[in-house]
Amino acid sequence: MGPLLFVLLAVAAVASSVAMVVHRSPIYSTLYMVVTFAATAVMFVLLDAPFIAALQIIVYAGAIIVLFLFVIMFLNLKTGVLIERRRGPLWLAIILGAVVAGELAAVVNHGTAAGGARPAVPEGFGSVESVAGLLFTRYLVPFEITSILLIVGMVGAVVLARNEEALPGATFDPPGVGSIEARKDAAAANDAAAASTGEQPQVVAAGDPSR
Amino acid sequence: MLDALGSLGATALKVAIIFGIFLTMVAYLVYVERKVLGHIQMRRGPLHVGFHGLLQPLADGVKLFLKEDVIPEGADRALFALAPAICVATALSTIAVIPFGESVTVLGRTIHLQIADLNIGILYILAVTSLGVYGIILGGWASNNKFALMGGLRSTAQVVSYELSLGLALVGPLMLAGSLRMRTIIDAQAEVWFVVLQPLGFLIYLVSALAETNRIPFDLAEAESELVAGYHVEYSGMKFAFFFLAEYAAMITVAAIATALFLGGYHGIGFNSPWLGPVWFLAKMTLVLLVFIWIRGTLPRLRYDQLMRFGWKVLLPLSLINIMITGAVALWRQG
Amino acid sequence: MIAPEAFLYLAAVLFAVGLVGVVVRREAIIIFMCIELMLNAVNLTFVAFSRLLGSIDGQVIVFFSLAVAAAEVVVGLAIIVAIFRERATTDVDQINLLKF
Repeated sequence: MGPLLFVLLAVAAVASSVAMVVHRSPIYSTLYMVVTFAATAVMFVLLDAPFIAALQIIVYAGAIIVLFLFVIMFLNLKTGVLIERRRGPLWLAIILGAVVAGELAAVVNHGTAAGGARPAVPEGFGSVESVAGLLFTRYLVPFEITSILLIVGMVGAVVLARNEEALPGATFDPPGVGSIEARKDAAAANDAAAASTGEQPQVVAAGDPSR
Repeated sequence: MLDALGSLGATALKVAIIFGIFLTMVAYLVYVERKVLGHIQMRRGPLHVGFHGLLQPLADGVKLFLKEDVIPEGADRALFALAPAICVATALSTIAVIPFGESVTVLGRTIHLQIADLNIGILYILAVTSLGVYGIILGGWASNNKFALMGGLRSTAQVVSYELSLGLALVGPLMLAGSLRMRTIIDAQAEVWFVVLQPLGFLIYLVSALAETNRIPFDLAEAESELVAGYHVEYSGMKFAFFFLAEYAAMITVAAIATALFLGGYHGIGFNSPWLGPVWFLAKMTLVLLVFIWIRGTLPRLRYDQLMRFGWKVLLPLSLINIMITGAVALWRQG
Repeated sequence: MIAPEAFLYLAAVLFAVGLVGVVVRREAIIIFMCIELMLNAVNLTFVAFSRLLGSIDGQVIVFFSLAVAAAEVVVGLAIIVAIFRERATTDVDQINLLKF
């Protein structure tokens, strides 16, 4: 039962991660990433880490990828092009990936002891109480710093992505739309030009609400 | 071997029974809502199909089943079909960890009235609820319709925002019971229910649950008169039935969680017997559901910016204050 | 049951897939997703080692890794949105000048 489940999960994770990299539509890529993360979460449960598995689903699959989907839909990104126009770099990249995987596998092989036995772990290993016990004693300072990091991230995102034009009292003048006086001058110039040549005014200030 | 097979059989039977009861409840919740809303609005509700309209859910089911399944041109067919499935799957998966009663002994075997007794019960509920967002956002996107996309994005932002206060409101009972396991939390309410100890938490939870399931007063993103019914405007037939089912199933699930975590679960007032536990549980759940329907019948809906402002600027700080007060009182009583 | 080493090999493969994705794809968001895939592979490695060595520290590190990844995604996507407002493209080959 155990080995079969692991093989299924491994195949699902690798296949969906490859599909994520290869697929042309960004939406499908994100959905394949959800599958990868879900498979990883089940693997965490197999490795006696139920708390981290639940966190993986809540944080990664439930929040981070939803954020990705939001941005993709917000920017209305169309299907992308997979590869460079030349085939050379693609094969080089695949060889690079194979070399990295092989090197990591060699390190694992060299570093871990022979034999596949898992050492016995105490009851309640990986439960919320055990992780919390360590988190709030030995890792308390990183915990507090992480909370500051999250606040900074939130404020930074709001500052970076805010729409300057939409804020009331904004002094920033986006290009193409002048201040109110400039727009009045442009409208006056249009009317003068129309009166003198008898044509329809050609020049219209962009975003002028009266047009 | 026989033991494993026996426990597998017991689990399968439990799943069948609980799901059967659950789906019947969903169908009749729709009927009860229409009747109660009707009476609130000085009319009768469904009356003709069967005695006082009791067979109305059957008629609705037949109608939705036989309706033509329209897939709009240019819609993403795979995602269009996947979205309602995700909504329903996540709405139904949550009841796996809800204990409906204490353990009963039948034929010498002890059977827990719960499908899966996880150590991280509450985290499982939060995780599955956060996966339900995908049905909404994919349904909005896959419909190839501006209104559906806007409604889907708005609804997703709303659900994600209120998930925060929902999770934080659940931290209160967690702190009082000292465990994430649902059964332990219910057993910790044997003397006094957590709604007495955590009134603010209970209110925050109810309001966040209304927002999570897109109910009035938070249903701007899917109301029929706003944004042309939002993310399920292009759905018809069985797919729409699935969205509908998912919404009412989610309502029942949040009512069940409120009962388990705040209202004492299967502990009754007065006589207590292991076989009476589920009856008490269902009675309390029905009370919470009637409150939800009552709110639907009496309150207007919030505008979207009012909704988001309320979630972030009112509910989130309140739930944090609730946690701080609970922690302070627990520490004070312990020391 | 399953040796934790098998999880380590799987994590190596996932890391390599993410790496190839970063090198090959041209849209900023897909590259970002492949980076998250690499982070996920590292988390898997940490949890596998935590089980192998019997110490919870690995899982605590994964906890922090999740929080930091969340903050990083938030800021990164905000940057991508801001860039997209100016250039109307997320093709990294075209976002190669600090100005204009």
